[in-house]
Amino acid sequence: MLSSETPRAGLFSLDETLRQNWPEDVQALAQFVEPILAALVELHAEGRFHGAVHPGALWFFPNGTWHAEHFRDAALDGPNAPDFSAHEYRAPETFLGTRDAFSDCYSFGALLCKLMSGRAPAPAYRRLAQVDALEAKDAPKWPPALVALANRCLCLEKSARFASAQELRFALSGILWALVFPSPEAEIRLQPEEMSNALDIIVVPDWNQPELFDASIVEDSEAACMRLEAVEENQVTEAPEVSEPTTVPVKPRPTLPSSTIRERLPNASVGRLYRVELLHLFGVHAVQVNTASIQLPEGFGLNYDADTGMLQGNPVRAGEFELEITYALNEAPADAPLLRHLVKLTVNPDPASLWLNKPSDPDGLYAKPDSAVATLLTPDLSAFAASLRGRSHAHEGKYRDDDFALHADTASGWHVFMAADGAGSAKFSRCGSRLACSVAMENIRQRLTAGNELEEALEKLGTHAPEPEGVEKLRCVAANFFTRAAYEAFSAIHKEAAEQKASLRDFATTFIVVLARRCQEGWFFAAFSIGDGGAGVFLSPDHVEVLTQADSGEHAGTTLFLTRAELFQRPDKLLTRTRAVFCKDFRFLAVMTDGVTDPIFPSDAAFESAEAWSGLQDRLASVADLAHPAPGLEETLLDWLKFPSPGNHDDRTLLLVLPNGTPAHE
Amino acid sequence: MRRLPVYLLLDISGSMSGEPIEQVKNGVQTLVAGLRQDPYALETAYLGVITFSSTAQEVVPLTELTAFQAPSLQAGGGTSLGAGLSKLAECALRDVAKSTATQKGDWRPMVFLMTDGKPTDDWLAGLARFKHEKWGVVVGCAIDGGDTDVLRQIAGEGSVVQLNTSDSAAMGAFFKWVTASVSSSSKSIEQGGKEVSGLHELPTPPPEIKVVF
Repeated sequence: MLSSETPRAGLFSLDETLRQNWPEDVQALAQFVEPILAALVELHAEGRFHGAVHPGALWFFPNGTWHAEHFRDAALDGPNAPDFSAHEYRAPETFLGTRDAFSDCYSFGALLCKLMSGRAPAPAYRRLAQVDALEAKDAPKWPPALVALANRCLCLEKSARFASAQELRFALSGILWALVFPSPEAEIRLQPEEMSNALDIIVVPDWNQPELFDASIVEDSEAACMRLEAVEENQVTEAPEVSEPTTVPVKPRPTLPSSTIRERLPNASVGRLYRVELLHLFGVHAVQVNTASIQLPEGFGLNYDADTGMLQGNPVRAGEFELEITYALNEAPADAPLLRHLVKLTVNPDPASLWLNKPSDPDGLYAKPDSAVATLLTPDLSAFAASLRGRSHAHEGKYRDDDFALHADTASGWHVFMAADGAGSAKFSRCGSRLACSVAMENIRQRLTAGNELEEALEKLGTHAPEPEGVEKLRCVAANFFTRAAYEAFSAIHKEAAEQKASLRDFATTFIVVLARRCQEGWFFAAFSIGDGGAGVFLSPDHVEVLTQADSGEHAGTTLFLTRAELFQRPDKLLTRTRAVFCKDFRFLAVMTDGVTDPIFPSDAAFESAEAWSGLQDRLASVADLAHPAPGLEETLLDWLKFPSPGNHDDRTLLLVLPNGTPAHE
Repeated sequence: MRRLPVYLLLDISGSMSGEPIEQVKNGVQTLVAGLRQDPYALETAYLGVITFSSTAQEVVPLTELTAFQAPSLQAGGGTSLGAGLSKLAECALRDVAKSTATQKGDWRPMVFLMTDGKPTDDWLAGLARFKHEKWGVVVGCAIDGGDTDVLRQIAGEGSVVQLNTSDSAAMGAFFKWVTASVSSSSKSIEQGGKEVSGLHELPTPPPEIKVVF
């Protein structure tokens, strides 16, 4: 956007060019503005607009010809472009953020005004409605028709202006035609009535009459008002009958063009603080408003403070409201009646008040309780699990789609933790997640007996802190273990889907499994996951070992499910999904579905950051003593899972595992 | 927060003037009022309005449902559907967040496209630009003589419905159905599942709406 910049050296500004060669007659003037008009005509024909017709966009070559390219580059032609135009050249609505072909016509009128009177009109916000921007006495040498044309461009009410540059060009060429080629036909074209029909150029009652309104004389407001109405009527219909000049010259009563006052206040929401400056409604005219007040229903929750001009408070009732604003203008005589304006206000309901909590049908197919908790206490650790139906399901009385499982093989010292999240749009996913957990757990349980392959691999590592190669070997064994369990779960779901004559997709579920075992030198963890959610071991405020990597697509909701048959056609790839970690000590292990990870970890990167995990610890520690977990912690967790988070209403499942005998906190 | 972007791509060409444009305006009001009663939509949905006539305009940039104010629409000009599609794609590219390591992406945008005519510009170029972005459900709505073949190529088989403006009940029903579709989409979205990606995954259209196959 070049509008605020000088295009390049060697060019002259509008003022400099005019100093050299000011157009002296209508023909010269028409010639001078024609290229600008032509550029606008082209834009408007395409349904576009320029948006910045002002001296900053107008540059000239030394020979007086016009730099069209710069003018084109300076176009704003979009609602969000910054406007550097001089205020005098801006249509009133541009201050309210709207801009179109009408606004271009306004700006063009301001340019005409400058060419005809030597200066641009007063900025729109300093002008009152219905008063001509360009007075004939300021442009004495120009034909009244041209003054009228400029004033029509400069009307504050958009609808009174020319709608496009094409219309404007017609009108201008009509005037030119009549002056340059005075002929009977041309004279006819100059007749107001003809013009109004053929060229639609009528602006003021009569171009050849002295001004009806003399702004310098104080008026009788009622009479003026009536007169004004009469004039307005004439403007929109026919060329007016010219009445005898009145003995009492009048000035119109000051009003604001209603189209420039906003029709709507910004929306409010129940329970959310609302704070809006009432004058904001008047946009550019705010400086003209002396006092304003707004009528509010009793117990509405909003108050208007006349001193600060603020409408504020906490709205109580949701709905669509129409409120009346009364205001007075600076220019108005003290006894003038107050002006009125109706504004609309939308108050949004508080979403919290709209959420329902309908119990699910306990006798339905694949029924599942709306929440579940479990505890696993072993000599090595304490595990607490809680799973809560999301608000979105509760609202509809639908089932919880999440599931979980935990198990310890006390003989071997291995612990297994699982969580699964059924896809919301899959109708039997609650069964998918349950089968994933139960079948995979049963498979692992059977193979976790003493002397299992994991145990053998662990023994080979020795008692000392293991070398990376050793951990990798153990990871491979674990990966094999997990992949087989996942395949068993997949097969069971496949079978169930076939029996139900449903598709595998109907049972879509994610799956996370974590193995944990205390060794002599510390702890061993291995994990496997398909889909989102995740698991991690929090060691200290600056160290977290993340055990899973979420499968997330470009957009939300695009994740991978255990029920994707293709996954099992590439077992080698599945094996890479396992991570393994050794650590001397840890504070907690958390296994979570995405109902928990989404609100707690704002991104995949945050899930890897110790700082975010520290935040999770702080939140958990605020409701429970993690160093000395008390019985019933699972219920506490279930309650904690109800934390509100806008836009996050998925089922939430958390498995929190705390080590025994080693201090969870230093 | 993962937002559900919902774009309305509206034809405001000259042929829409009068009754059709009024019905569309009322429809947008109905849509917004309906969504405001839905807690999912209230917390998740963002609305954007793009219009096309001789050119395309982003009339309302993607705006939180609670702050959304229905635009005033004026009909006139040609049917630059191609420009509308390009504009929509550009707006989505600019406004819809994609998942990266440091942010979670928005839901794929839903699009409801309404037109009553045949494109008067190079709409295939616009279509190519449109297909460059990823979309959730795209529903084409042919009003009166709207070109259903064109809409099918944009929205996909089975995602085009037909309405007659002479039938204001059908128009009302369409916008109610759009409301239900946005709600149901935000529901399944928030239930953590896969996104809706075709008309068959939306609520069944009411009998007043004729699905074009």
